[in-house]
Amino acid sequence: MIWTLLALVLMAIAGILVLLRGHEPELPPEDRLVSEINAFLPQTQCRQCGYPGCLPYAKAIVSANAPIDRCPPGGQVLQGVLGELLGRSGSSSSRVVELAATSLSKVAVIDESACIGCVKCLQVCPVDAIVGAAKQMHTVISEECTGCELCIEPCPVDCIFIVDSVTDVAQETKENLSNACIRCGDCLPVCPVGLQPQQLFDAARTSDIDLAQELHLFDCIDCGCCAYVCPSEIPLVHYFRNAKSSIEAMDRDRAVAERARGRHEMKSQRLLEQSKIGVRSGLELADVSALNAGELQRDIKAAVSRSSKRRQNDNDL
Amino acid sequence: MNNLPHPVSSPHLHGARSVPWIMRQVLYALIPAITVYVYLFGCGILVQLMIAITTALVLESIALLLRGYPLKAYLSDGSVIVLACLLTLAIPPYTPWWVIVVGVAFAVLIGKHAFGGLGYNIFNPAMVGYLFLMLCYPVALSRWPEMSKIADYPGLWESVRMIATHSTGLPDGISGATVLSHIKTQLALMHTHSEMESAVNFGMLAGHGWEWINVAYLCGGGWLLWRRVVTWRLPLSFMVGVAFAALLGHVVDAELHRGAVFHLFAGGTMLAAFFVVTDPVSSATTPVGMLLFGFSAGLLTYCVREFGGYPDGVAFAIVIMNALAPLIDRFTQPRVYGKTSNNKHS
Repeated sequence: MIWTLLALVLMAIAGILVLLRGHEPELPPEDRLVSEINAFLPQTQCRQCGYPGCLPYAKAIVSANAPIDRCPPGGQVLQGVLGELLGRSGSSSSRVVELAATSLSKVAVIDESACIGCVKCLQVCPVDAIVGAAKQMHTVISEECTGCELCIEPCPVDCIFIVDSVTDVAQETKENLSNACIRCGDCLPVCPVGLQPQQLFDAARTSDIDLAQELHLFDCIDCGCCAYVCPSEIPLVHYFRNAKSSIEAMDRDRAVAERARGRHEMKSQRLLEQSKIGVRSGLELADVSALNAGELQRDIKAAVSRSSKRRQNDNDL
Repeated sequence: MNNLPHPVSSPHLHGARSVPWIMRQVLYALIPAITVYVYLFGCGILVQLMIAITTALVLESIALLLRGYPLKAYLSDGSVIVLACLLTLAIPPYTPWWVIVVGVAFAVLIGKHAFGGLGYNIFNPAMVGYLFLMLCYPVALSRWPEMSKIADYPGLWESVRMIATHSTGLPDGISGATVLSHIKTQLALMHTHSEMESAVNFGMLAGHGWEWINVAYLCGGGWLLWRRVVTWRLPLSFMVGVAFAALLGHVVDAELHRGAVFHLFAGGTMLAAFFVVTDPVSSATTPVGMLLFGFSAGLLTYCVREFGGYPDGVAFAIVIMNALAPLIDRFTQPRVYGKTSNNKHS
């Protein structure tokens, strides 16, 4: 009897030990974690986190235990994702909450009539999205701009503005209380494409984009047959269109972020190589500090008067 | 519609069918069965229906108020009345009043609202309520009136008095087992079906009296099919499932298992086929999924009846299949236009 009990207890202890061993979280290699975090960062390279870019911030989060609530463009969503990934939470009263409005849907625009060609903005752009040359007009490649606002501050004539790049079509569809789907299935036989409107509705309502795409959301032709027959009068088409446009907006943001990351890497690489071989780029040589001080003052005055005149004209109109 | 950002996408017209309309059709379809109940068992069923519907409406209102939903729009959809009727038809007509109250309360509060109300309940609320009663008050639920004692059934006032005051429902004198539980007991006593044949319990198709209730459900089902409230897939596949399993059993050993016709018209088969399996909220919705759902529910019904501890297996079978419905739907997606059969780009 006692031996049986002892054996059972021993087996239980062994089992618990095995389970505990299995449960021990296997630490992923730090590099993998860094790239994982970097993939979630918005790649605006805006330095609002206090680090020189998204990748350095990711590295700092992993190695220096940097707070995860320092990325305004990522907002609370990013904070949540990172918190889940790393198992910690940021302070809730962070500045992220206030600044969450910054996002990839903004781009910089240069008032070209006021630009004096000082190339200061070219040097700070993390993704080389501004083209121009010394004493030549500059312009922003809006497809590449991440809206990081780093170029605003160095501009001596304040001719750079941030504008909304795309009007966000994806509006949050609120849960409509008075229309509950009873899953009657009336919408199935009427769909000319053979979709499952009621399951799609569930996916769209709960913003489950993976499920929605698995159910072929993008094959929906917006014909409205399902919404017509629905006995609960659910505006199904409206839900589907909202879901489609929000998925498209997300894809667009993701593509922009991916490109921005590549361009930023390219720029860092270029700067590194230049510093190695000791070459100063044409841009640096053409820095305004190299210009005659009087000439510079004259240019700035001329630019300011030009732009104020133009603004006055605009007001008159 | 007012909560949505404007403008809401077209279409701005809607078909004539609405949820209240559908629920009304289901209630109309139950009228033949209720009539047969009254003819066979007396007025008890009407009293039970009154109690059940009142309880259901009151509890639904309380649940809606607590959840902060508009009362009028949700009460008028009629779904809770259908729930109350189905649950009432599943229990003996002279059970004490508190049994149906407890059953309806469980069905409405736990079966329906705990899961999010109409459209979100995973399990059929009526079956959830029935199973709850079945597990809590098995004795009360087994006291069905004996068919041969029709003359002894109480009138309306007598029924009210019995349901309100009797603690056990029908007095022993006129209560009896249904044919399904009769078979169960007899088989346990090692009697074969040919030995039972003489019992008064058996009628032309199945259990005496019960066959007519099932025929009435079948008529109601015909109405639902005609009004296109249900499609043929779920009821037919359910009946095929029961019949197939029964036929198989009958071929293997006719002395222990009765034939397909008996099982189709015994117990709650037809009630399940047209009113429970077809509950759109908790069953599968893809065309292939419906067939699979109905057939499996039929098989399970037969299995619980023949091999389980309870006389009828409809409720268990359907609740088990309800749990599997989302999975079935997931794996039986129909082909999308312009795709190959695996829904890959062609």
